Amino acid sequence: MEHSRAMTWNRARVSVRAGAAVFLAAALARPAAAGATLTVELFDRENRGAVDDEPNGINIADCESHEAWNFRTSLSSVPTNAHLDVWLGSACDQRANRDGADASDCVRVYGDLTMRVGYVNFGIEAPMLVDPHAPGCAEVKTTTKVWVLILNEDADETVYDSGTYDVSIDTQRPAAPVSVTVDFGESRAIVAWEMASGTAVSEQWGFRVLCDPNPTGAAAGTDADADAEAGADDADGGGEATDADGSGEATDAGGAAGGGCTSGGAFAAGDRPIDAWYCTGQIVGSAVRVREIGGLTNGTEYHFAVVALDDYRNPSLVSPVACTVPSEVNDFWETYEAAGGRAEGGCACAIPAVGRTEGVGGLALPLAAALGRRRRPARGRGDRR
Amino acid sequence: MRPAGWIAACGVLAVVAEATAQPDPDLLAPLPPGTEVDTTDDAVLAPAPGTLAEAEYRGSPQHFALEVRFGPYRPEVDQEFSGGQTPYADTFGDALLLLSLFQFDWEYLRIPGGTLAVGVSAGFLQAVGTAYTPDGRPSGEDTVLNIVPAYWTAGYRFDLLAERWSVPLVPFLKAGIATYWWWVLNAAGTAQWGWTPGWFLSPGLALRLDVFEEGAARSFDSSLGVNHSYLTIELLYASVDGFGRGRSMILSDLTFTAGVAFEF
Repeated sequence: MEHSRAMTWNRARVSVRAGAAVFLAAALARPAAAGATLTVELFDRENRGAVDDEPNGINIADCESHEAWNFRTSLSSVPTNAHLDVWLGSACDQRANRDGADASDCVRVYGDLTMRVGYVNFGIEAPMLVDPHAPGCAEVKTTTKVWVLILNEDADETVYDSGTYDVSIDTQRPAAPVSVTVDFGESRAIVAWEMASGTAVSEQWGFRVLCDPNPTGAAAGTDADADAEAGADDADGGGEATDADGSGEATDAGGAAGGGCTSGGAFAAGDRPIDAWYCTGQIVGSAVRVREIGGLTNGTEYHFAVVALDDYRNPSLVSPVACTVPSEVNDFWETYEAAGGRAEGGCACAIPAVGRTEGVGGLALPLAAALGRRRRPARGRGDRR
Repeated sequence: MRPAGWIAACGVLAVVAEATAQPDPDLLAPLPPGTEVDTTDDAVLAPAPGTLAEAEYRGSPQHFALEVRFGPYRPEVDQEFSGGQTPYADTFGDALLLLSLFQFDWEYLRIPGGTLAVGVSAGFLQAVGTAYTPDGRPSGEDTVLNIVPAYWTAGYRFDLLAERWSVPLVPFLKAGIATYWWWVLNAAGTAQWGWTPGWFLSPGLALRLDVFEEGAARSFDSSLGVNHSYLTIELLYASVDGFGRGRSMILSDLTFTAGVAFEF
């Protein structure tokens, strides 16, 4: 019995060793799966000074300019018998989503990127991120997941390690303002607009005004935001004047000569805006509904429209167009003088001549003299020191 | 002095002291030993009417007065023009403006029947209208006439009735020099500015509020030094036309103001 027990124990020890050897061989043959521990980060965007500048995602302009998004992932070691891929899609760590059997499967962007200890960089253009299956700038509002996969070189391409990065995308245009009114001033116009009720706040993050002729010249699209900060609501006029006043109101689908316009302009309602039409910077604030445009030429007909900007800074299509003709206007002083008012105003009135020291002038002079007397002793004390 | 003399003198003093130590009828009689006092009972601690504590309250020193007043105002700019020209009405319409005034007085002299004071007050008026084209079309621009009226005031407050007979009415009269600074704004900024001197006269009546809530008035005085509080109403005749020299914008008006005043 004792002998028999020893034989049994030895057999057990042999099978444990064999199992360990098999496990070790398997471990050497392919790296063990380490899970989703890779860090994927965005370190550069072609259209942004900093990657965290607003907006964070991809908008129409980013997509249409094929903005490059440059990512990197960091490796602390390089596994053998594995390769590094970059995929776009949902649940790309699942083998079934990488086999291409379904149209909704993940799309491989990079296969077998060179792995090294440290950063591994790769770039993806915005249209690819917007629609991995058919790169382009279709109107979508979605999130695309970037997958970095280290895949074992086995039959099933099991995942050794993985990491993801979410790219938010909004290439949908917001709704355009539904009506635009414009009132004239002297070398200026006051443009006001309305949004449809129920428009989401995110769809009216800001606005930009379009002018034709554009008083800012060809560089209209580079108009600084400081222009917007100058006080978008500083013009408290902007009533809905009638055409007889030389002002326009456009509430329909515009047209070449609608909204009080006597001629066709560079843009019409429903056009896709271009930078050269903008005569203001971004006018930030969903509650802003009026903007004064200065630097206009009296007697010239100007066409105005407005686009809304959503929180991704996507512009809407061009709103209905309204026109006005800036004209000379009289302030109260000019009206007063034109009526024959004899007040002198300004310095001629504020500094009375000798013998005209009535009123506060008469009080101001003794006051100044008193102040002078107070100062002289002070200077005298200073001199004595 | 001999010892007998000292003893006699001490006895006389003791008798005199006893005689002079009679209880004051205004003072409360001492409580018998062992009596418990309810310190939460106001009747126990508050001085009775007419007692020493109440009669000696005279308030804090009084030297100054502050007033805040408001009233309608319509400068008579168009009075300058003849032949139907009305540039002010054409631009700003007929609406009354809101005159807001702040006044500080130094009550420097107490004379029989009241106080003499000198002071200064300043305020603000604003008229906003539509700017028109030379051919009379309304534009989208506004034009603004801002006025800062300032008054250099001498005044007399007849407070004898209030002080002696508790009649809470204080008539007063103010007069002095008025100076109105004005400036016109257009969309580009300040178009023109100037000032118009003149004079003013302002009789009025103040309702002293102290009599309605004497406790609060005393508390106001002891905590903040405010002797009296008033509601005031006064007529304001401002002849602000450059003393008729014809080279100033006429900003005169006959109006009234009402507000609150505090003496401290």
